[in-house]
Amino acid sequence: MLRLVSTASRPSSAGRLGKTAVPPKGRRAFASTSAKHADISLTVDGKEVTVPQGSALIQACEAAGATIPRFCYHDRLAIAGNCRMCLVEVERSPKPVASCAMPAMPGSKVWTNTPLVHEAREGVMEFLLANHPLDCPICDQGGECDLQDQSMRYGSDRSRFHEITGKRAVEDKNLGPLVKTSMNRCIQCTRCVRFANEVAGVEDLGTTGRGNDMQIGMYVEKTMNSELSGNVVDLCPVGALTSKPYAFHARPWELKNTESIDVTDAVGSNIRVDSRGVRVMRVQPRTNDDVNEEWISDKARYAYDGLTFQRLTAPLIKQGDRFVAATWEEALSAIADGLAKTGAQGDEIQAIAGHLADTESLVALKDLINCLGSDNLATDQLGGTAPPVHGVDVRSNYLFNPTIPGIEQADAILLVGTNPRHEAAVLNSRIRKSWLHTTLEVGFIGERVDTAYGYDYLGQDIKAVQEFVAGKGEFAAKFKAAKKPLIIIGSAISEHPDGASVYNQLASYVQTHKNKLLTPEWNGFSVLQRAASRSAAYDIGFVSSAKAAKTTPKFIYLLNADEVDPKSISKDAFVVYQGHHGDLGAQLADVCLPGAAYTEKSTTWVNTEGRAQLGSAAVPPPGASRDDWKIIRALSEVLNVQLPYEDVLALRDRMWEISPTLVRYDAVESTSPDVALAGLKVLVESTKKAAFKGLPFEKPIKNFYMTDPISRASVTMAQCTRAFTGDQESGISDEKGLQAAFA
Amino acid sequence: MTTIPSRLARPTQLSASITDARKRSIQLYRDWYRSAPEIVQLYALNVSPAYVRHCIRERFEANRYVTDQRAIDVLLLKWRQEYQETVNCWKQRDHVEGILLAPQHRPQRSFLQKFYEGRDEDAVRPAATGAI
Amino acid sequence: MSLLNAWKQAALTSRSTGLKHLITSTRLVSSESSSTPANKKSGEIVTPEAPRDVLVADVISGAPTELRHRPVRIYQPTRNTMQSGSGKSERWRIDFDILPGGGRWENPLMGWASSADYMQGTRLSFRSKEDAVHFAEKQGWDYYIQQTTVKRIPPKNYAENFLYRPSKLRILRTK
Repeated sequence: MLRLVSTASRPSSAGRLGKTAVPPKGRRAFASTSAKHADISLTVDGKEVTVPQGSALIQACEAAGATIPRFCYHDRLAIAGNCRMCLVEVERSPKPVASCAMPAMPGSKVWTNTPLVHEAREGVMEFLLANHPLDCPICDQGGECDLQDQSMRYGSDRSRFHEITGKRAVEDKNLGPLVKTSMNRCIQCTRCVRFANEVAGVEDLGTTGRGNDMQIGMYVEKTMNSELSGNVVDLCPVGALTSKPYAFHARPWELKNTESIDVTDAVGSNIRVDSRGVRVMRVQPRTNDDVNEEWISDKARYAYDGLTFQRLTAPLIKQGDRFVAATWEEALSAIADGLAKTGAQGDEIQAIAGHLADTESLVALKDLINCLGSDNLATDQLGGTAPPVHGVDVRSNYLFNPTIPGIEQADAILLVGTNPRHEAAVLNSRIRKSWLHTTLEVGFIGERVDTAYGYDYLGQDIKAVQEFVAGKGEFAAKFKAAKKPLIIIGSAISEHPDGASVYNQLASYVQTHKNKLLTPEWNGFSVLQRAASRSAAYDIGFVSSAKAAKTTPKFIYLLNADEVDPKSISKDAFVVYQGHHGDLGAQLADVCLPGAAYTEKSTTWVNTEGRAQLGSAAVPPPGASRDDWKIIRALSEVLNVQLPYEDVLALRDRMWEISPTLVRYDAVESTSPDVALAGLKVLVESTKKAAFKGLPFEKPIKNFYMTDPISRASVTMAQCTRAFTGDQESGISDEKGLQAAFA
Repeated sequence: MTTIPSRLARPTQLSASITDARKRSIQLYRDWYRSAPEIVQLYALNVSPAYVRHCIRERFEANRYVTDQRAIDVLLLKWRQEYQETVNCWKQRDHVEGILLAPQHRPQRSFLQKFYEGRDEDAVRPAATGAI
Repeated sequence: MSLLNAWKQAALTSRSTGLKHLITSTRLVSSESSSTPANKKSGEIVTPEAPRDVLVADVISGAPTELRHRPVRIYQPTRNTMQSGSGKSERWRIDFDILPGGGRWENPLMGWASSADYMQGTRLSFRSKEDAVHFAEKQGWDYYIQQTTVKRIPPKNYAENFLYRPSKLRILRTK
């Protein structure tokens, strides 16, 4: 059984698996429940090293600081042992030993530098290169290719390849619009096969044939229909699987790498944005075992080309039915005039925050709206104008409390009204990992979907929740018997008419079973957000009071809000849209203010666990766009309610005043069980009288590839929609549809 | 006109103490101050010697609070070199105007002015006006 | 206590009180700018706020003083996920944040990227975090240290591929 070591083994300069280090500030070190290993010690290259028992020899060598070349071994996949590049010499062994497959034995002596090892590596390299085409000039992997690097370092300098028949040729497989295959270059390491099988859950990739004729493919004509399919591009050590949208666009040495945070979903995956000049060329994942391991979803990876289309680059003022470009002075004074003309007072001034609003601008906007005398703040979801069902007073009511790495400790998970495969793809892969390697049981309430693991289907509406809470059914019994059960409520539940009763039922269930669900080490009640800005909005209190929710707004400020219902905005209201794409929100607006997209500003994003992370700007915003919080600050000055901060440090001071978690980066502040219980009590009290209609829970994301303005503007995402959801109409505009009224 | 390379040259010297450094900087200031009319005449500048003295004073004031002796020594060295180059007429007029006489402090701008301009003028002094 | 106040406290006690100087200077610029832009007479010589101790290198390096207003990020670059080698990720890097408005723009002549930012291509590498921090303090730059990303690789062994589990099979290992 794969043991998941949860006490941090931090990388040190000595190697990957060093001694355990002190956990960083802000994170309490809980006692680990995984089994303790005895440590064994062995000698690598004369150096004594101690590793947990059950480690592979390659891990021991890495811990000693020796770099072992490998093609098929990957830290997060099962061991295959078929490339033979990791051969090392072990004492008293007749042959060199594949260090990835050999477990580290205590007291053994290993050498990674002897002539035998060198010859072994040269030999393996020679065999790999024998059938490898001379594609380096046209291969996308050039410059970041494992084969290139390892042949330069460990291979021989001359070739002995004199085959008259030439090299083997293999047909290219069509894996979809995202992964470009060039199977001539494949070295059959089977990393992609193992990834698809274990992590992605689409068990379609496999090997056909054997020996020289072995091919990797689907065997049938099939696309790789997984939301994590882009990760095989990273895994493939050669250029067999490359990124189709990025094909032939750039070389890795001309790219500038900026480490940032992804905002296409609420997981807050760590990414590295590679840019050249003013354009983002690609998005790569960053390793962070606390959030996204090493994977990112396809939307995070490939939606970047939407950053170049449909951008708002100049302030726009609506005149008649057209938008006219204006200067910033004109636009801001037009907003001031519009506000005065509508005569909006107090709660008639409303602000709606969208999915991609960053924390700094949310804070600035809330301050501005409050200074104007209003309490009417909304989020752009269904029913977003009313205060949310779960309340925002206690953090544990709306966050993913067990934290993302904590999912692996759960042994029973109940998913209510959520499709984690689409809402948080990388989180879903963690659930799958746990499901594969442990005896995890998953129960599902909601619209039936194919998550990448098996689940017990309990129903689609509140009746299923009630039955579960009452203890009826086999899964409820399993849940009760679990040591660390976990309830994941989807964000769609708060938008559902029955949401209040669902929360009531589940919160009372957690209260009754608090000895298992709410202990100091484990909080099993969690809400999975799907919008990157939602946790931050709730953290700062970007919600309206009940009184404010009832007033009809006359002045509406949309901050990246593109999921609003156009019918909810009255005809004579003055609408201002601040965002970066000309999507729905811009069409509804009277004044459009161009802001910066997530790759163009250094702002804070709070993910669904409540972890604040700092993104970074990779490219400057186009045209006359400005940073979002600066726009709000300038507007406040024009409206004579000048906000007190002028630079981002002062704004972050303000954020610290509101909630210190917003500026404590990369750490999760967990809620104590007492506070969590108090929060649940409030939740139960406030939803006591909620009536339910018994409507079925529907999945909130109809099309995974188009959920925010950036992905909707992206050509790659349109191709994916067409390929993977069978929707042939998407991406093709017809004349009958709404035309954006831009000048 | 030619000058010998060692005219007005001083060997590199480390100050013995902070008072020694202070003495040396005052000596340097005196030399600069007294050379102001000569600089104006040498490079045919359009400004008065008083303005040149004002600029010299500005540069000295900018470093008033340096207390690290090593930094003071380096500053003295560099500005002594500048003095030599300027008074020996080894520079040209543009050098003098651009380095010595360039205005040190730009006008303070309000947040709104910086916002409309688009650039954070505190963080960049653009060489050209550039695009938007 | 405000975050920046806490920072100032820390700066007072450390040797690099030039940070305080920076903080006060940036504070000075930003708070003054709104109130009295017109009060300064053009001929008036403005001395900077008197800090305790000015750092060594930023005064004598000849670097433009505008550089002191720009924050810098100290981090360990992540391993390139396309490759297995982790050589570059052991070093620490100093990277400048992009300049708002002056970072890069498209040149109208050829469409290439022009820049007003002379630090946009500069990436300094250091062997350790302390070296990087020392350098940034010496130069008088505001810095933000990005935490190293957490890596937890469990011990792996080949026998897991063949482990018997009595429950229903959840994955067919076909390689």
